[in-house]
Order: sequence, then structure tokens, then C-alpha cells
Amino acid sequence: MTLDPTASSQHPALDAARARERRLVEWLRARSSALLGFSGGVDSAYLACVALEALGADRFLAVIGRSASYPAAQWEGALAVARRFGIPLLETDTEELLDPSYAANPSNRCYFCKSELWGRLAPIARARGLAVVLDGTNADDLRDHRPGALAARERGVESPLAELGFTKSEIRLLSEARGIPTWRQPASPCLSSRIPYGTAVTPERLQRIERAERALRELGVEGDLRVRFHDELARVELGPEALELWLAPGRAERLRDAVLGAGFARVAVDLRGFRSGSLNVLSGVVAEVAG
Amino acid sequence: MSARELEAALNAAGYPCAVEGRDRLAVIVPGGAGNWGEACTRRALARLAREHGFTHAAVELSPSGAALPRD
Repeated sequence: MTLDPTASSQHPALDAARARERRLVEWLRARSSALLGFSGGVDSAYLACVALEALGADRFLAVIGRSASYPAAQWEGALAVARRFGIPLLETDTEELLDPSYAANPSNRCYFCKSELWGRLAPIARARGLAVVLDGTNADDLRDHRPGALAARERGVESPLAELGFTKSEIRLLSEARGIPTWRQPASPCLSSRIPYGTAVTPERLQRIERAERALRELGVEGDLRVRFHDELARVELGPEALELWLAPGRAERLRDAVLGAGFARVAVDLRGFRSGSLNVLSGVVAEVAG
Repeated sequence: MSARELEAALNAAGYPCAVEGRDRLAVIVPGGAGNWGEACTRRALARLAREHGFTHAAVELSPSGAALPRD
């Protein structure tokens, strides 16, 4: 669906977001062509749809970087969005797990992952004559601990959503208006984000986490969900509604058995539920916000 | 932070359990059946854990079912 830029709604927030979107279209057209690092998440799915519309299919390319840390469910979602909207798509393998600096899982792990990603995508852009490389970073992301942003800057990657001030809620609103199914998709960072800093990232651990999360989704767990890795113990973080629902009599056993079946020996449920960046707090990388 | 002190505080507050400290994470292993999933119980446990310096607290769902809520 294409938005009519002159259309007005009874929704002031949507009107304001549409005005920002018009600036995004101008921004993209001023670059003439672009390659986008495409994960299929809320931000990059939205940016891909707008960029395709602004630049056309012959001057835009979305690229997925695949590795063991990229959830299969998100990959499937990314392909579905690309198919539905006709987004030109390329897939390439990334090998951040072979980098000892990444696998050791320091607090700037994301820097090494993004260095690998942009190190592969920038040459693709050059080879195809695409003027800029983009990512889906938004304005809210700038407030978080994001060591991967340094790797993007080093490679000259541009972040139009952040630069133009798009918040996550605006991106969701505009995505809904465009009929992009990711509009209500929970945030889904890479699987390595479930492993505390200082604990090595290995393919086996990533697969175990992914199996557990997939099993919980198949069980019917909705909304925010993270299976945090603590060696033999899985600490499950659920959104407020799911926490209430899945600790109710009769359901907790099913939740436990699903996670045990994925290969963990013990299962615990976090009492405060899902917290974005929870492991940053646990590792002491950022201080806990009171409240 | 001290897992032993948190464990003593939880038991004194009427929550029979053992506590395993893993850095800033407190893993609460219930000592018997009870509705550990109830919202007010969860809040009380999390508050006590915070007061003892743990940023995270999780209640174990043991294979024996000890941590599971009961009708």
C-alpha cells in the first residue's frame, strides 16, 4: 500500500509521522540509490518498503546477513515481507562466530558482529553501484548501549530513521498504515543477546536458545519473550500478560517442559518479566533505571 | 549482595526456599508447594531480592513441581 502524502487523518500522531515520512522519501531520493541491511525487524522492514517506493526496484537492494545468531523465525518473516512487497533481496552469510573477539562475548560484542556485516555489505553496494549503505537504527536506539553503531560509523553506514528522528512508536504506526505485518512484531535482537557478557557464544548455545524460544512460541506464548542463557539454567522473561497467564495453574508445567525439551536442565521464570537490555543490567554495563 | 541473607529474609517472610546467587541474579528454589506465580508474591519476592542487591530474581520451576502454582 502506498500512502497518499496529501491524505489527512483524524489521528494527529499519524499525521505527524506521515510528515516525517515525506522527509524520509526526500532524503532517500537525494541519495539516488541505496543498499539496506535487512533483518526483517520492525525498523528495517518499514525502511525497505519506503526505500523501494522512493527509489524503485532497480536502485534499491535489501540484504540479509545470515548466521547462527540470526533467528530462523525472523529470517522466515523477512522473506515473507520481501515477497509480499516485492523488495529486491539478496542473502549473504556472515561469520562473526568465527571471530574470537565476538565469540568471547565482550560487552562490545555487537561491534564485532556489525564490523563483519558491514564489511560484507559495503563491497556489495560498491559492486552494484549503489550510492549508500543504510541500516534501520531509529531515534530511540540512540539512547541504548549500542556498540554496533561504531562499526556502522566506521563503514560510513547511514541511519536515516535515527537522523530524521523516527521513534519506534512512529515506525509501528506508519507500518500499520502501510499494511506491513511487522508493525506489531515484538523487538527481536539476535540470539547472542540472550547470553550474558563474558560467557562464550557458541553455535550449540544459540541453537539451544532458539529451540527453547521456538517451543514456547509453538506452545502459544505471545508478546515479548526471551530465553536467557545461564549455563544449564534457562531464565525465561515474559511480557506482563504472558507472565500472568503462563504461571497460572496448569500452564507452568507446560512452559517448563517445553524449555527442558529444548535441552536445558533447569528452568526459572524471571519475577519481573521481560526487560529490554536485561543482560546489560545484569552484567553491570548499564545501571538499572529505578521504577 | 548475599544469597544467604536473601534466603533468610524470604524464609522469615513466609516463603520457604533456597536461594542460589549467580552474580546479580538470584535463583529462588522453592522449598514446597505454594502459589509462587501469584502477582503479589512475585512483587514481594522481587522487592526483597532488590533490597539485597540482586538486579534479577527468578523462581525455578523444578521437575518435581515444587515451584509450580497450585489450585
